[in-house]
Amino acid sequence: MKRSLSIISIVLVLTPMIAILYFLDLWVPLILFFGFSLIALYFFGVKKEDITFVIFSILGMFLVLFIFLPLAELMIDALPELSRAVEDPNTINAIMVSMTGAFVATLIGLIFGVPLAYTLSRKDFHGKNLVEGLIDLPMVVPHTVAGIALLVIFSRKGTLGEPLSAAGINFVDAFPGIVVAMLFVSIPFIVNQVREGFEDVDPRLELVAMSLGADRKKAFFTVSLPLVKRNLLSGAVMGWARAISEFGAIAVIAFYPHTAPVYIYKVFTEVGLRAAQPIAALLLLITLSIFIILRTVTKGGSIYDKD
Amino acid sequence: MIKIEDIARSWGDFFLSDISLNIDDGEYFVVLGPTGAGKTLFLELLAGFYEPENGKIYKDDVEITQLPPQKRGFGFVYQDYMLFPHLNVKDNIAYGMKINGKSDIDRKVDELAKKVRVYDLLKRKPSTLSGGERQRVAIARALALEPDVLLLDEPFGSVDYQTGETLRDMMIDLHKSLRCTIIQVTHNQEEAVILGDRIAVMKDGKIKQVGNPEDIMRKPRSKFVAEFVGTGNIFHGTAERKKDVSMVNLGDIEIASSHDFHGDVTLTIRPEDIILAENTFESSARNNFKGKVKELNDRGIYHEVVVDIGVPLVVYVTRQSIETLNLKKGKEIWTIFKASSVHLFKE
Repeated sequence: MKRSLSIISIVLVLTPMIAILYFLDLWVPLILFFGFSLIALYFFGVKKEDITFVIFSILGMFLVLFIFLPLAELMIDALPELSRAVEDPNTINAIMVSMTGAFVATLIGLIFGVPLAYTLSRKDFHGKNLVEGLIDLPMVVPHTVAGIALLVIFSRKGTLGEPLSAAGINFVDAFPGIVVAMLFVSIPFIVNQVREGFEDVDPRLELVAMSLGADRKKAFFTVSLPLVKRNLLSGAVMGWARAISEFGAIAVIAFYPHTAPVYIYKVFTEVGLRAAQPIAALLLLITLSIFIILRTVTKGGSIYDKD
Repeated sequence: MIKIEDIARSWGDFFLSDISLNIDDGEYFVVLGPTGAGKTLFLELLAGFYEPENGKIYKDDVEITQLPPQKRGFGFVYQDYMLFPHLNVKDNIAYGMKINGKSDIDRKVDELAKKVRVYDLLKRKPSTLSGGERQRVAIARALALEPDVLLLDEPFGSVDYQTGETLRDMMIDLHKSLRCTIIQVTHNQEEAVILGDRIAVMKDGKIKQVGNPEDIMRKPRSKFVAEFVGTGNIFHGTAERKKDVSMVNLGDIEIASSHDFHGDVTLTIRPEDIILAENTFESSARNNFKGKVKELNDRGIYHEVVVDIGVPLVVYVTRQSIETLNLKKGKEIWTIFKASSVHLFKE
């Protein structure tokens, strides 16, 4: 479909952006924008075929504003004090813990998730529904419940925690605890994304590769895996983003070392909103930049033919 | 030589069964059948993509039934090409050689690309190619490892007629120069006759008849084959042996056939083997029947005339004959055909 700057662009894209002016107390341009929009609308009118979409996009605009405005106001309010957050070593530490934890969790998720995704995309077996449901479960389990469940099994007396702590790996109030909590919540995003990719790869491509001398493993690594590159990236980005944003499960199993969301919560409850705001803004700024960069990299045209 | 012994495989409700064939080295063997006959599945079983549940496959007297595809070394080309979308044409063709650690890949790719005329496309991605070009690349990729056996799944089925014809001619040339065994499946009888040294007709997962094109086209052994290859003029009757011919009673008329049969038979006469004439004349043809023209249909390059001689007999004639004989509906005309053109079979 051809992209055009239409009335829908004004409603869904320009209006939220212009709305920022409100926080900056720039009333004049704000009123000018809406004035010009209304005048333009009066003169150019709306094509009959677009009327439904204009009404729908005005309704949708409220949701877009609902996501955008709080985040935008947070950023704008905290911007002058952002340097204070950057200078606080605790903030930087917390952000680093979040980043590395999410990175490790995503890596583990990919190593075990890709084979699982491939199997689910290629084979039908009894109980497959059950496995699929289980993979989606972390999306609906309340995060504190997930945290409690993980704490039970990974605590020093837990079924897995006991042998592992004997081996020197502790989970409670330790980095590995953060990683398992993050992994738990990001699994559905990683597995489902990658699986969708594999489902789009015709199994006959692998068969042809095999007729050309590749065994199954080689066919997988030279044909199927390169073909799901984009899904791997987007699955990783989504899993990583989900891991960064996790609070509940992490707070239960590993309050220390603080991840950024935990640290923000702590500052908020112990010091107050004013102190938490710049830290939150900094975290938002960093995650948003990484998210936008990775999304731009992973988007773009499909490698598949669209006949 | 490839020897197929009684292989069978089920796929849900579909059964491929009782398939036994011997395919000679260097033969161009065509499996002909309607959509859903199980032709592609048959080819996939040969390639080793799936294992038969029953039966054995031998290549040069060595059993290969359990051998995985990568060890069979059969080239395979799917109807919808299955080019690797992430690789350009060059890397698609080179794929097999790279996997097998061959040397001198660049030169071989160039050579093959010239042979199938895709040399100018080597840098392009498959998604930018036309159907015909993709098929050429798929064929080059399959030939890169110089397979003894090439399996082609409806190779000209997804391209327009003209492109299909060019590809077909290319396949004939390649077969001559490479001398590999080619097993191709198709639903197109014209293609089968032009390409095939032998043809196997397949229906509902079973082989109905194997023979050279002449046999399949003129001597079908079942009503299905007769109808599928369009022999036309299929009638049932009772045959009785008389001197050197069998006389087949169709109710109102008796048709002479040089085939030796007795009792209930099915009879076919190819429409192009029948002559129309104003008057009967002395000839070696044993069958002369007068009838009325019932229908005249323009079929493009020929005309179809249906003459009622007691049974509706379909005859193909040229436009020229229509004018010369002044054919029109209701006109009385003689139909003349040889006893040897009348093919009989029992089912």
